[in-house]
Amino acid sequence: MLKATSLNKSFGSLVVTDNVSLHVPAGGRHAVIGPNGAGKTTFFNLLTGEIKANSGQVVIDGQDISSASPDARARAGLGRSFQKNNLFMEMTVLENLATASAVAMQLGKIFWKSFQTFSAVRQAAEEIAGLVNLADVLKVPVKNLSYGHQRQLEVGLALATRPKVLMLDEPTSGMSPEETAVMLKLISSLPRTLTILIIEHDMEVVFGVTDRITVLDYGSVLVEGTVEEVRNSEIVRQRYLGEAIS
Amino acid sequence: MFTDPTFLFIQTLNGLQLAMLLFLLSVGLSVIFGLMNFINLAHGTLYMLGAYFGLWVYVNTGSFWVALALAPIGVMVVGMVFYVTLIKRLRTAPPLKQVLVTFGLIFVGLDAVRMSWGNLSKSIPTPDVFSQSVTIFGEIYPSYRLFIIGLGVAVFVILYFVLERTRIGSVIRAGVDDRDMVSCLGINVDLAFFGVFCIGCYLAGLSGAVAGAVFPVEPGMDMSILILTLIVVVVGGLGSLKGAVVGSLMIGMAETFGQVFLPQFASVTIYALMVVVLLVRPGGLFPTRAA
Amino acid sequence: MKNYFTLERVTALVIVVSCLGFVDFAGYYGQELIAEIAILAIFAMSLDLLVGYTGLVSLGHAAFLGIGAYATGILTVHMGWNVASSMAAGVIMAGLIAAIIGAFVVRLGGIFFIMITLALSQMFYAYFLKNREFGGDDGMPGIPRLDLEMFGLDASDPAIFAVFTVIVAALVFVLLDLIMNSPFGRYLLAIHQNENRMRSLGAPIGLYKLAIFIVAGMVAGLAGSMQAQHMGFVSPDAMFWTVSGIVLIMVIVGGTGTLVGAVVGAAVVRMMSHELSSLTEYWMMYMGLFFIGIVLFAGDGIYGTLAKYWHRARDPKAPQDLAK
Ligand SMILES: Nc1ncnc2c1ncn2[C@@H]1O[C@H](COP(=O)(O)OP(=O)(O)OP(=O)(O)O)[C@@H](O)[C@H]1O
Ligand SMILES: [Mg+2]
Repeated sequence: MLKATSLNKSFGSLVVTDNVSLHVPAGGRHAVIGPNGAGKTTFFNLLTGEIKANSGQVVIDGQDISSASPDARARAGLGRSFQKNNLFMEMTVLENLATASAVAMQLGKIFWKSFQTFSAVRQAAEEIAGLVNLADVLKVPVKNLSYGHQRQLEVGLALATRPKVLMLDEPTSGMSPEETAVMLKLISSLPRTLTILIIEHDMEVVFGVTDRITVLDYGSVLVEGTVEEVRNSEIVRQRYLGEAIS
Repeated sequence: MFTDPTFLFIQTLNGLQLAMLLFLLSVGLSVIFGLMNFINLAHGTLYMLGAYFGLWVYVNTGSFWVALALAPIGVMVVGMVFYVTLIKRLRTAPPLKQVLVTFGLIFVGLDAVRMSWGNLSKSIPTPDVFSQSVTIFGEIYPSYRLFIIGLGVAVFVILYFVLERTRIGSVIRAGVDDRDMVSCLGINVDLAFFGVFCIGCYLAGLSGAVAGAVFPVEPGMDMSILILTLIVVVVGGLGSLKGAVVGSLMIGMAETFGQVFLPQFASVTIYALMVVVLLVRPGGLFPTRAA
Repeated sequence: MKNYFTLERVTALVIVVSCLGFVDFAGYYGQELIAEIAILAIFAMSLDLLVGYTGLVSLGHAAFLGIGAYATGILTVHMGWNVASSMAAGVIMAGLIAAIIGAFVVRLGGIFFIMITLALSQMFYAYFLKNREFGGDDGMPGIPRLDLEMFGLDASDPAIFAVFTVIVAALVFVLLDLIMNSPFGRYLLAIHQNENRMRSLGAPIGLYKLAIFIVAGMVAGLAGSMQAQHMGFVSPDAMFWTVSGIVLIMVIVGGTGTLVGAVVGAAVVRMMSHELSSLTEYWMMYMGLFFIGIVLFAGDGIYGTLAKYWHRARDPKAPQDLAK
């Protein structure tokens, strides 16, 4: 479903992504892990086109999007959430999700009908809100939302674009253990047919929801394999996981 | 006549002279922007104040040189007052706010000048040293204009030396490249900003005082020069010393030769130049950060 | 439950009705003032589409006003077109030029956008200033008004023309209100709030910015055409950059992001300068200080601030309390 081949990126002399390849089949659940500054977010940005790769290829569902703009890649089926909340702060939860749903339905060319009259948009937004446990706070402005709820909305916006591949960048970052548990449940409950690529530091989440893992270190792939393989990999134990799984 | 080398040479000198005035203005505007992300539409007003202060000092002392020495300092003091009362609190404001407040200041400055000196066009006489014209290739050329060119070059050399060779200079350059970094270096950022702002105002005042002896000193002189200065900065690249130099030269020449060769289009030439530059390089010739 | 009677629409209706009611008693100067304000209101609303709704701060919007005005002037005076078609041509011309300019300015942000729109508009100013054929700096007189004879009306009557401008302004309001409440309008709001997110959701940002830039240009062109008819005259001063600055001030003074705010701003600024200029020769200084005060201390503008209090009074348990 998602295939990245030999992606490279450097900022000046700093090589941030070094020949990274990755393949996620339809319905696959793939994690990208690695220490801070390993280049995980940059790798996501290369996939979505927010940063232009120096070289390499990205294919989604058979469609080569290597040179497409970020919005074209999103329309091709890449939906992402951000490590740092990146929401429409002056809107309510419902308005956020409705906006994302409208983009998914590509309604932007319609200028002669009131936005409020699109009941399909509202339905879709409410459905996503249910999925990410925000049904109770639909009318709350995002800026008044708790941080945990904002993180849930972050995932909700990505979901609302009805992606073929859902890309989550540290969905639990900065969350309390309780909030993390809610997020873990949320991600596990997503339909099994959805392809997911997730960056995560919390090993419980990684092992809980994924079947394959890529470990990035200094921009290059250290190890790639099934959860078991990575868990048992000597080099990963040494370099990264430490006591996290002992 | 248009291919006469002497004529072309004289026009080149005229172009250089305008370029130097623009350089004195744009370098302050540009570096202030680069360092503080602050855009000052009232920069032309400072130029006008420089001319009027120069005129005022000249009328009271009878000395051009005293006027030239004091007027820029007067403008700098005005700049300081504005910095403390207004600009300090606008530094982190969105560009819209900065533009609007400094736009409001243009009107305040314009009427302040009209109240103090009236609506009539005046001028500062050139000092006796420059009363003689020099002869270049058999053409008579006012020596005062050569003085302006020399002054511009001198300021450039000094600025270049300060920016490239001194510690203060490296701080400023670092600040233009990466504003956050300066504060990491343990430097009093506010003080550095203030210093740069004062020097920018000083140069604007200097430019005005010098120009007062070639161009009419009148309310509204701020507007025409402001637009030229903004174009210089946009063409050169916001925040870049090199950009200010190259931009000033290009616009000074384009404006001068445009008036001579394409009078019916006149200033359109400089806008066309700007459009071409921006089509090729949206951030200007020497962009300091992504547009 | 859909609320058609928003505060904004009701306010707009009240303004239109009171203007129309006032025309009768206003006398010559009042009628001229109403026409002038109505035209400025159209102009200010068009700029607000960019500044308030989309977050594109243009300091060159007067170029489109001027293009609309000159197109109407040139076509009627030089080419003998009738006023109605020259008005349409002015709007289309402004839209075309907005499309060309917009194609390469909309990708720029913040201060770059401000400076480049300013410089480009000055290019048009410089062109018309030097062009003898269209009157150069003397401008172009003798522009006729739209023929309203088919309604049995005489457009040269200041009262009739004032009513005409108010009706046009009201129609523009209705049209723009429709557009800004549509999915298209929602895209623009979202782009204003968070452009990056909108792009990563899959919206081609540049196209939407370009689209609204063209719409804003066309509406400004309409205002320009009306202004040329009103004054019977157009000169390069109509597109000098300070005109762009003043209409920007109008939008800010009234309050950005609402069409009525722009209308209120146009009316307040125009009336203030009218009153002040009859009191003192140095009225621009006081206007400047007033602008600065509004920008620094009343960021929401007049209508924006009033609307905030109104909503708070109507709904005392403001959103803050719903946070949990
Ligand atoms: N625009 C940029 N310019 C220069 N360097 C950058 C840029 N973006 C990222 N980097 C550098 O690239 C490296 C990788 O950053 P990235 O954000 O991809 O790491 P990460 O693995 O997501 O880290 P974290 O776990 O902290 O989120 C870092 O050293 C960072 O400083
Ligand atoms: Mg990261």
